[in-house]
Amino acid sequence: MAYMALTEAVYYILISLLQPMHGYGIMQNVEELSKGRVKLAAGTLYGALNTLLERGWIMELPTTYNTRKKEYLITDFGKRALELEYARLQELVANGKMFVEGDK
Amino acid sequence: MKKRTEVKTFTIWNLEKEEKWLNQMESEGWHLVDVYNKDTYKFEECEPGKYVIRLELLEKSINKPESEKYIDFIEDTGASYISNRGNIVYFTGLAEKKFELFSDNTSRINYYSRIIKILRWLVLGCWLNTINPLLWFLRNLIFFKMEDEIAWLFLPIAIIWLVLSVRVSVGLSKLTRKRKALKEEQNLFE
Repeated sequence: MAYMALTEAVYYILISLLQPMHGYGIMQNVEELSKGRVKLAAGTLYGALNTLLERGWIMELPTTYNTRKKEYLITDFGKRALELEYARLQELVANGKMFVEGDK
Repeated sequence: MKKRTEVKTFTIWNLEKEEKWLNQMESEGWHLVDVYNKDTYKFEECEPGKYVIRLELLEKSINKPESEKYIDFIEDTGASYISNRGNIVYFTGLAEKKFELFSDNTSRINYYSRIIKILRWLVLGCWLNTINPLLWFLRNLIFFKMEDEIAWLFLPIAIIWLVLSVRVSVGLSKLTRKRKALKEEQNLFE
């Protein structure tokens, strides 16, 4: 896979979808995880979810009577993308530690 | 409850201006409850600044299932759908929850591209409609020395389309510039 950095929105959506969640749940979860810093807007989330579905990184769960709202879940393919992104972020942090903190 | 209607025309390249005006009305205590006849906005008196209005040009026509799905999704996040004007939809949400439709540059750029794509066709159509009567007029002028007096009619038609073409083209270039600024910002952030 040609590797490109994920957007912050996509990264947090993938993390959220390690467990089944509907759209509004993702918005709340991301806000909570980022301590209020990242507020996903509904239209942005919708676009990102559709792109992720097309790519096969997440899937829609069948709706049942008690879950009218559509729920989504990460796929193995999505997990792989998330792991790659996590590794990339670790590299960024490690270099930050060395060069930014090391200067102090 | 006091009601009020306003008649106003906004073009497709002035959606931001339209949204700004609607939110100005909200801050003055007039909540948008309906949009109809393409240019009529109906308001009801409410607590000033309680709601925000967000509008959006849909990707697909309003009657398509994709559009219905999208509107349902937005409503499931706690906002309400008010009405539509063609393929432009109006949503409202609580101001205290900072209701927005877009939260990052990637999605904003996508949205601008959607409008720009439509405007490009519109620009092309307008210019073709300008050139066509202009050529008829010139043909009569040069080859037939305006023998057929009805040919004079082509001139004002061409001029009307010319004015329209220029306006739409200016609108398109405004939006293209905005998108470019967002793309430049994206090189640095996000």
